[in-house]
Amino acid sequence: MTAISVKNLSKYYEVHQKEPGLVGSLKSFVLRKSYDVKAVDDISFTIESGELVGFLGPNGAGKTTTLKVLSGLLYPTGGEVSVLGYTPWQRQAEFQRQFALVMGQKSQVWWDLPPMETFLINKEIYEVPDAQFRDTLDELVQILELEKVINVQARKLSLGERMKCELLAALLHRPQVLFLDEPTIGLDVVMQQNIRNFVREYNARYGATVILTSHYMRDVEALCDRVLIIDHGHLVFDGDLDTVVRRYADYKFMTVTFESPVAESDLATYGAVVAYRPRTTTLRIARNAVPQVSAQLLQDYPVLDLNIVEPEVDDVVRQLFSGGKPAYAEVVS
Amino acid sequence: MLKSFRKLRAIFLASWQESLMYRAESLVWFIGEAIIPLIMIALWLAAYRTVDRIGEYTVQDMVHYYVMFLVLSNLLTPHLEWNTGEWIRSGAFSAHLVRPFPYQLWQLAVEVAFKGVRVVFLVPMLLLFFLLFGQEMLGGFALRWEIAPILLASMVLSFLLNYCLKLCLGLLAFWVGQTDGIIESYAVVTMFLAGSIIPLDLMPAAVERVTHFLPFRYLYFFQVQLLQGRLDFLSALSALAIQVGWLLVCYLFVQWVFAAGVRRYGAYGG
Repeated sequence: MTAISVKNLSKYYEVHQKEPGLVGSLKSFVLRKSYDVKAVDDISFTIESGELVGFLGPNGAGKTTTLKVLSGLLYPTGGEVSVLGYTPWQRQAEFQRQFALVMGQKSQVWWDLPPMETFLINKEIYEVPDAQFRDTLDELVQILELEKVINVQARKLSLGERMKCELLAALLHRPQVLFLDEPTIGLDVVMQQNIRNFVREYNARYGATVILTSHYMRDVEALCDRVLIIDHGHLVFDGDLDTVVRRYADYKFMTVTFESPVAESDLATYGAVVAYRPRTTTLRIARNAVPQVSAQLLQDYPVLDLNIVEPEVDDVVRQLFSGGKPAYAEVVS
Repeated sequence: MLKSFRKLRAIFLASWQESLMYRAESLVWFIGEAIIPLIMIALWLAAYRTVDRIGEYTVQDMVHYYVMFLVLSNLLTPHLEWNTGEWIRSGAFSAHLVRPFPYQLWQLAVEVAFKGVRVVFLVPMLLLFFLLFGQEMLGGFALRWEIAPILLASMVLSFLLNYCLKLCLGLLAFWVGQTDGIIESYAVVTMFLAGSIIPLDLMPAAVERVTHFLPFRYLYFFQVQLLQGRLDFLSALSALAIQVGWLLVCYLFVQWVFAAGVRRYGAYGG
């Protein structure tokens, strides 16, 4: 069953142009030039219920804008959107009771009160029957390990605990669609993992449709079977994440710091040189060759430091969009 | 109907609890608000050393005026313009828009709940004023029993009217980047036009006339007039009708502003 249907969605923002400096300010006071920023430009896709989909793309790509249109926060400039049969920006209460939006770093949980108070409010606002509330609450508290936390003032909780409470608050009404906007941003590695596991479990248990935006490759890797890559407002890729990773991110970057300078030509034998400095160089190495190459380098040279880094989503996406070699030059440690 | 009540009650109870965390701040705000009336009373007491009557006011009326003004403005003024503007600017407003409950009602429940803490400070403050100006204060009361229901109704209407005005002010954040300056200016201007600084009927005739075309005289001044028995039953009733009219206008206006603002809302903050 189709949960979300998007046809030719466009969202343009009018932005005012101003020349720098005082003359520019005066000029723009009298005559303001404006141009359209195409945050989202003719995007179409459908999502079936129960799918776990990731919107991937660099900052400013348009993924959050798309999410905001889907949740009814923004009116599109053009196109048709249907979520659970509703037009999101009409913001009907019936519709809003069926989805949840969780925004990383934006808190819904009341700061000065224990999270439990927020849960009780949500129970009423979302018209959750008493029995269902109790069951869902017990279940989620258990999965998220929040027993000790829900009756402590939110401001006394750690960021990770607060984020888990945010999720709990959002899921009390068992929404059919869950929008997650950068849910793991600012969290430590362990907490990121916890959140990912939880979302996956929630999707498995309740069959909820989950849409996640992130610029962390790891979020998407861990959670999403299907990925929509959005760049500069365009839908660049829609399909299996495996395909994306295999095809476009089958390499890693290795940054090596040597005790004494090494010639660029010597290093070229180990891998493609991305950024060269006599003492510190970044190489691009095929994923499966990383162990051998690092072992070899450590053997052949006096190495002070060796740093292995995953390719950035930005890089992968840029590659997809340009269809050619990505611009490695920016990746310098 | 019952569902709406439960929702409002839930918000109210949580807000009530939260307001208790701001006891200390509330006291500080209260003290700050009391300063101007105290200064004005001191000023007028000096003025009344040489005259018995200024306009329609005896010295008792005057002291009573400022004390009642303080009480009423404390009870009937919501302060949602600051949070509203802040949330719109930061994008936190999105959480309110996504919720199946109108923001306008949500904040109303919050504001009513926060008045609870204020009331607690009202009593000792009134006692203090009574100790300072006891005799003078009581002399100003002239509330007739038939006016009492009109007074109560006008107080409720005043709160709602004020709420609409303040909400509008906060919603300006949809269009204007920095609303702090506008909010401050509004506060200063309305202080005069509402009668906080000088009784409206003692202002220059031209200014006094202008206040009849604005909603501000119905926020606190109207109520003080009732308390001082300055309006007969029919005048009071017709003034109440005008107040209702203003509430209707402001209500419709704020709904329109809200809808227009949401259309424009860029949901900033990523």
